[in-house]
Amino acid sequence: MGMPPDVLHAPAPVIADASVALVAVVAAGTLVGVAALWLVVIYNGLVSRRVRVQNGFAQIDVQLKRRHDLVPNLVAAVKGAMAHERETLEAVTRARAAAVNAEARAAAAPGDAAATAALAGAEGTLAAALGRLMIVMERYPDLKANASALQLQEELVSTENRIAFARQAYNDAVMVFNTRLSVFPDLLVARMFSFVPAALFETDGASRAVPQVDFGAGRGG
Amino acid sequence: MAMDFFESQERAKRNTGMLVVLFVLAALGTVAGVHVVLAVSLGGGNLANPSMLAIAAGSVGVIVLVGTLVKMAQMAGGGRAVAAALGGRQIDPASRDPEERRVLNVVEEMAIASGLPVPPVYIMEEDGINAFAAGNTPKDAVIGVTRGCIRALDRDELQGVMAHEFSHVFHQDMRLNMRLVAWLGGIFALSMIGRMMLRSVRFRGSGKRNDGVAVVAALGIGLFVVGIVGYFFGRLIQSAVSRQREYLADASAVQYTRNADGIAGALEKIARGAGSRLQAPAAAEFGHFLFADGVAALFATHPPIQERIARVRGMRAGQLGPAPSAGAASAAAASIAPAAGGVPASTDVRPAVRAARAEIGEFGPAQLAASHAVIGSIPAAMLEAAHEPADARAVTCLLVLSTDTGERLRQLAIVREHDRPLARAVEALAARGRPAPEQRLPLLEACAASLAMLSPAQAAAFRVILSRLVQADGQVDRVEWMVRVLVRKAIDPSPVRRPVVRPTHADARVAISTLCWIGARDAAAAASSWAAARSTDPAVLGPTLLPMSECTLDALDASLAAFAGAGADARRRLVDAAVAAVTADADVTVEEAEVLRTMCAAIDVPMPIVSRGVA
Repeated sequence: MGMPPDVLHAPAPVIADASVALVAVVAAGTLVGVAALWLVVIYNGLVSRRVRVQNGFAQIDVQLKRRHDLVPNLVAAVKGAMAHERETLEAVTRARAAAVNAEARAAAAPGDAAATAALAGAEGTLAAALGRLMIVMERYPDLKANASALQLQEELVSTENRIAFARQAYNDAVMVFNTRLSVFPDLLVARMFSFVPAALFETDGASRAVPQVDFGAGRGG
Repeated sequence: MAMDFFESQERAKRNTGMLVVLFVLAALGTVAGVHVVLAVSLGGGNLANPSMLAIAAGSVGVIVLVGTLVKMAQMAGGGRAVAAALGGRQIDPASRDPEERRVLNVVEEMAIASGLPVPPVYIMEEDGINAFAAGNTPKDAVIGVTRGCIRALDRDELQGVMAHEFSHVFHQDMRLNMRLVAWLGGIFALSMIGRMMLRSVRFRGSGKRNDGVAVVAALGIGLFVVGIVGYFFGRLIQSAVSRQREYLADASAVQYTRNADGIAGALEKIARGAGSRLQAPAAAEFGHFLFADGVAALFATHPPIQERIARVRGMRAGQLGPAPSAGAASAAAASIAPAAGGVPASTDVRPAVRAARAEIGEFGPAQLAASHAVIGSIPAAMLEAAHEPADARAVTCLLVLSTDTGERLRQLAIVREHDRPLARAVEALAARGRPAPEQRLPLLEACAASLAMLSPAQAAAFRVILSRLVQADGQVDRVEWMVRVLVRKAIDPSPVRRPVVRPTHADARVAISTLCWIGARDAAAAASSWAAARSTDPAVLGPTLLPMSECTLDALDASLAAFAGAGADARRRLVDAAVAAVTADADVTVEEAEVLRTMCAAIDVPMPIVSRGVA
């Protein structure tokens, strides 16, 4: 249906009602404007918090990648001395491969619940495998004199600390974002633009055990 | 062409004022347009109808105002909002990707050379060669680059592009750009509302010929047409302004790097077919933020690329004019004072400090070389730590560790009490040695960018640790003060909008007196520094030097806080007096230069790095 062709040629007396029309237009405009302004402010707040979540994930990602790069070097450095521990070493290598995969998937969708949980699980497995490797390493006195193995181990431990720190920052950002998604005025806007809550990056106890292994204070030697 | 940083701030304000006038004219023109539309369609051509004019003015006023406010609310997100709209992702300062590392290094080097806080760098995964700088002020500036830009350009070309973007930051083009987007949004809102009104009329059906419907329909068409026309002229203004700023930024890029080949090479690669197009839908709206045209637009926001290349190439032939940094550049040749504390007595760095003052916002290759050299002299492990948000805390703690062994152990115990891994990282760094005095400030600036990534809870925890460390010995020394000022700027929980305070003579007196005492061997030396400072502008300082006992660093903080909210002119006078005080006697120590630069950072004046040439 088109509009009536002669609507623009309505008779002049219409203007007598101009003041009424003026008030109506200004009031409607103001209402629409205030609503739009409010919408924009809330939407911006949500977007900026989501960006913080993404940046937080990127921080974890940098450190996880570093851990993934360190692991093969450590395996190579200790392989010669630990020929009889093939199983332990293979477990570490397998866990690393799985973690690398999970990391790539999670990085493609930061905050996605399934991907983040899978990544946390894979990293937990890797951390546990590394923890076993380090305990086994203590049985090899030769390795305690191996500077590159010691250096790599130290780097792994400090990387672990950085991962914990980055995880804390990420989880802080997720909590703020998710809270905003669930409180009243914001939640309407969040529904309208289908914002989804981000997933916390939670690890089980296994990964936290790793930094505690102190190579230098091991028994024997 | 070389324009004082403060002048360009003032001019940006004037330009903004001019744009306001143009904008108001455009709005008045729009009101007139709507009025004519109404008069012709409804009033039978009677233009002298006050109530019709009132309708036109009221509706246009409300719509443009609200449209502008909405856009301004969007722009309040600063440069990060623009980066997000263009599909950018922040590059983690600790990134190990070689391509990302390269652009981070180029940006960091340039920021430290110029005295600007190291800005966050965003990457857009696009193949075209493009970049942008956005933000409301230099301190909330962000830099964005496309993946294509990093891939296709070599380091010199990338440096040229980044220098171009830094020019936009210094010359306050970003603020102008943000306003332009907001106002154009306001005018554009007219046509959007017009369209909405027409649609609503259509949906109400054609059956009843209501008078109100007629008014609404007429208004709708009027607003739509006039909004489009207003937008057309707005874009004309925008593209005219933008093109001039692009020429200036190209010229500045050559001035900063003294290398026309860099930026010209980048432009040639775009011209030769790599292109600068962006896929992001917002590219048109933010076109004037970009390095080169982001979309094929009717109104180019950028001059023709061949014209830009020709102009840049022409500058090499000496059209640049007398370089402000020529003296410093020849003297500096990238040499940094020996790592041992202090400066050899034979080196007179006064010219370098004065050159730095002259180059606020207009730094040159001497500063770039000095920045490159000093960053290169920092041990790799230390620099890497400064780029990690977690380890940047450790580097910061290291800088405030006492040289006294007992005191240092007490400080480490404090850190351990709060955060074991942090204490461990501090110890590991301390075992590798302390940064040399001239490395402190650049390191801290690198740390500040990483610390800005801490979550609010982490930042709060770190502030507690740091303030306990600083207070550990019951007094605040210069380095501790510097750390405190810069870290506070980086991780301020809520950048509260300060009320505009007019700094008093007392504020200036505290700041300058402190500086006089810091560099002085005795009271006479302090008095002569004071006299030198006073000679720059007797009106700005009180008559007499404050006694040393009253020049506490806390008092200095308070006085700088007053200046931070002040206008460009007040800050310029303070900086001039400070430079005079520091350069009054021949030996400008690293410490004096450090305090000077920290003071400038505290009042948001980007003081370029002092390049210590061999005299």
